[in-house]
Amino acid sequence: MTTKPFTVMYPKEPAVVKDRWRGLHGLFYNKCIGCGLCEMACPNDCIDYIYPEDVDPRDKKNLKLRRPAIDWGHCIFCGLCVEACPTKALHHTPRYQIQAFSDSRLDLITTPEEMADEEDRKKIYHSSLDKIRRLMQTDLLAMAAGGEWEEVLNKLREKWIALYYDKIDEKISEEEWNKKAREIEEIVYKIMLQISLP
Amino acid sequence: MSNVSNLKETTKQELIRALGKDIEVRELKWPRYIGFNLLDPTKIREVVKVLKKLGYAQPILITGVDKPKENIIELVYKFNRIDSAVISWIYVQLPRDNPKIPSITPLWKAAFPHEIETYDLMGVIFEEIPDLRHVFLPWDWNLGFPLRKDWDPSLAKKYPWWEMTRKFYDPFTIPSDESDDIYYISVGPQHPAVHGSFRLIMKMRGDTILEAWPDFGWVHRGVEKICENKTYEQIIVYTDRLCYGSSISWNLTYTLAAEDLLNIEVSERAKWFRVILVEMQRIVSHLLWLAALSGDLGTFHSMFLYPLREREKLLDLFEKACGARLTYSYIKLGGVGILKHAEDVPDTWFNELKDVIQDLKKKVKEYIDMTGNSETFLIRTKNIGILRGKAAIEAGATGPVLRAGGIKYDVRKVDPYLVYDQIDFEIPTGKVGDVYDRWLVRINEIIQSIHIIEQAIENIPKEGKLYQKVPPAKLRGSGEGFARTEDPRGEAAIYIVGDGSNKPYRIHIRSPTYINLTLLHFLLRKAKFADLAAIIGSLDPCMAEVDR
Amino acid sequence: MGVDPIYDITLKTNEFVSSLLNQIFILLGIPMQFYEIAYITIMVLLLFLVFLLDVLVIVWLERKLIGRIHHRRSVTETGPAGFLQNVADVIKLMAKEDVYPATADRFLHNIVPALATALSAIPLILIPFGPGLYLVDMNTSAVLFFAITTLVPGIVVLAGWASNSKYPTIGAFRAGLQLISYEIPLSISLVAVILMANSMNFINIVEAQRNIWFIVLQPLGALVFFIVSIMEVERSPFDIPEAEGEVLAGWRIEYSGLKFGLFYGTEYFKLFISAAAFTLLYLGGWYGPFFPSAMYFILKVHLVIVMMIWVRVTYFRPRPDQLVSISYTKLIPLSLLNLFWVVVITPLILPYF
Repeated sequence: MTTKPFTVMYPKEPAVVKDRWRGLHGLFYNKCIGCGLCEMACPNDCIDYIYPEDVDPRDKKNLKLRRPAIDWGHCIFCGLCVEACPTKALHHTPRYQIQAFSDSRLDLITTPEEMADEEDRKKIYHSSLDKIRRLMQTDLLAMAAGGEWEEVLNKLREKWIALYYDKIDEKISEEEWNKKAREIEEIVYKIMLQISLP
Repeated sequence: MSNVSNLKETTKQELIRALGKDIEVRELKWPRYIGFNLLDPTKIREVVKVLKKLGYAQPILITGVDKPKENIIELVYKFNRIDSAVISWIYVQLPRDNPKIPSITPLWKAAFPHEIETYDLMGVIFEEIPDLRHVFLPWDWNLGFPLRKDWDPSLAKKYPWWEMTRKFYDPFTIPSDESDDIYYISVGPQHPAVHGSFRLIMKMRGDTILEAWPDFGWVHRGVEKICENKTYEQIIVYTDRLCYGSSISWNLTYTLAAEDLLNIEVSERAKWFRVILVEMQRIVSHLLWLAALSGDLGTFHSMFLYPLREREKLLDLFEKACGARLTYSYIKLGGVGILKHAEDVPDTWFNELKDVIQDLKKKVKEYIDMTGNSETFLIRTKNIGILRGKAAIEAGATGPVLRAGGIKYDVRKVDPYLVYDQIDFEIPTGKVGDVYDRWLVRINEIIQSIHIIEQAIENIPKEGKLYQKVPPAKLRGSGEGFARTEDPRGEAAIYIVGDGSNKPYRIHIRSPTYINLTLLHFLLRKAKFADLAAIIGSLDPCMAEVDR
Repeated sequence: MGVDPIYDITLKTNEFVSSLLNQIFILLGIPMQFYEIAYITIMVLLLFLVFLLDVLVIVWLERKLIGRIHHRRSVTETGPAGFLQNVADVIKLMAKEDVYPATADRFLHNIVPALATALSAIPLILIPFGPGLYLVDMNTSAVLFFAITTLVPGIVVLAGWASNSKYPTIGAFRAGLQLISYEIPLSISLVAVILMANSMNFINIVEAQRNIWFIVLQPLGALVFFIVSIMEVERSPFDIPEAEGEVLAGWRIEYSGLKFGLFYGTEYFKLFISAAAFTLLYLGGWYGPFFPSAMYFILKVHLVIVMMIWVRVTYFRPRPDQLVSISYTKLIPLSLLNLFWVVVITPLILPYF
């Protein structure tokens, strides 16, 4: 009773995190080679790949340009993906607090730009619709929704990807792509707001 | 080792003499185990009678393997011994469309939980078993058997899950010829004394329990079926979450079984380090058990929080080594490691461990003072829930529960794995087999673990890679892999059947607490209602591993 | 008596209330027969209010002290050092929905919390707080005090019965079991004190301790009475009717919202009252060094409460049948021994009273 209590008064005092803490991921954007090993290692299917803007996903030569997006809501922070990475581009940071508390499940899915460690690659998405535009290439949104919404989101994704291919092949113009893609993204956003955080 | 070969010879001769042409010897890859093929399934009881006469102690695992290509279901029985490492394996093949076999429960009570589970998930019917019912699935399940290879997972959605609790809350209607002072109460899935989520249906008169039926399955997640779709490396994560109170121990059991199947070797340094980690985990698990028991027996007692404080220090050490506090995934195929390029633990880690251990020695004396020397603890734990000697072995108990009854059986001494044969430690036993003895055994195990860690820190070799990541080409294997370890709760075992691909064909997990909790049916007879918390607490349940 | 602030405050309140009442009565033209009743009602209500404030302090003290013994920090957020946590708890409980089983006895379910609070708080008026500071001067006040506190387990049984469900019923009957365990040692120890003080009036009992406290003269009786007080209040380690590990708050399970809040409050009322009884009977009430004062009484009561809190976190809970056996095989013989001891030594020390 006479010694100092053992309690750590979080959140007034920060919780002391040790070096090897398996926290939220960080990505060295320039070191990543888009090999695909992290997705194969993940036990929970939380990782999927995003190509940069205006890059054709169907071309096999562009595989090395893709970067991982991780769903932190389903991630169990086991470290198998970090272990699988051959260039040590994917690593754990000591962060343990997820940045925003909001009603949308979307805040738990990160894009490679948000995870990036280099300053010139790092980008924070202030608009949810922009973030959805990046994430539509992956199946993470459908898997995060689960249940009945999964099939709906998969169908929307197929439509969006068909539009994307059309844009890359220049069958439709920029404004038309923007308008139609935005329609789909707004529907997806409404769906994501329906799903509460786990 | 001559003991082992003598035993194997004797077993072989006796079995062939008793059954003649119906049994034949099967070659196993492990030199200390012996295997047999039983060609006539109806003769299983004669086999069991011979084995019992030869002194085999318990059926530790009965696995069903579904092989639709050959149109059979193969049952593998494994019987262990108290005094030696020999396990007898009996393989029986049953036709897939009508798998029936006589049950061995009338001869051996400890086989009941295994047989029930095989019926529940695989559909093998055991004849003349006292009570054939579903244990993990709902009681009126008729949508197929999940572990079979041709089961359609979408069938699970068709069951009316929402109505289940209403239907089965009060399954027993009071028979009209029973007297008025008998009532049935359900110590339900939500109750602080049950440490997790299981249910006891009890028949009581006044304050005395007349009979109790445990009801499992509330936390069933289908881990065995999930693991059939994951690669050998990904399954590590699932083993963490089997019993989160002792997660390194399950990591180790699985890793030993997978390394057995895939023929992977690890360095000596990795083996010694694994010993250190497993013993640390044993201390952590026992401290948590002590806190839970004290919390149950008294309201908000000091002993609820003091062991947790020591546990925090050990968890900090785990965090420094591998980055997580509860579910480690640290012991992997190829050694002990979390990153690919073998980041070893620095020497400062070992020094800190030594300091924590020395401090813990003093604190354990304090814990003994607060519980074991306290009169109020003694009246709650002495002569309650007695299970001793042969009755304990017959009923299938392992671990501290068995050792409290006076039987010196510890897998680390009988069938040493890792480097336990080079370490000097004792096995604490009790005399009477009551709750007090189980407490005493576990406290002494903490002290013994401290002793083992001290020896391991001195003897760990400085050279050698801690973690050698296995190349993916080597992660394919066919055949069988088996490993058993001494979990803080008892004897844990994992049996893997591989078919040549990079995913296992069948993985079966023996959870010690599942068997220990079926003992409740015997321990709770004629006990008082208030003893429930003490008895369940002393068996140290961890429901996630019971239900898998 | 200018050194005793509590006496001064009480005196001033007395004068203030009587003058106020006088004026109100004259103003409204109410006949003076009702003056007595109105005066007493207001004084009792004021006492109860002060008592409630003290209970607030006691609850805070318990939580902080248990936290410190557990080597951790307890309530820290609301108010300075967590002092307003109980106010926050009461507000939360008031805001909760009143959920009760469908088959429960509605009328009893609503009434029982109020009955329990009333019965637990009534003995307060029998306690003398200081020299000349008392509400009631009966010559059987000690016996009446314990007679009223004995009624409370009856209310507990009624509370469990009203819920019409298995776990509360088990808890309720355990409360009955506890009643038969503590009643006899309590009465025998009380008789020993009464014999030594030669009176059943609390004031006379305290006066008889002006030279030496009874805890020194009958230590065995004090020990038995202390243990039995904890049993009476149904506090750990004798909280068998509400044992969390087995019957999950026993007879209190089906009460939610403010009903639960009232039961929670009654536990602390009973605690204070038992500690006050122990102080009056064994610790010499308001006598202390230099001069008798009500301050000593309050201090001693709080010390006894601290001891009861400490006992709570140190001992495990016995089984109900073990409780009965502890009482009948250990406590009753000890209290009889104490009675015998008192009968022997009282004539020897009577000249010194």
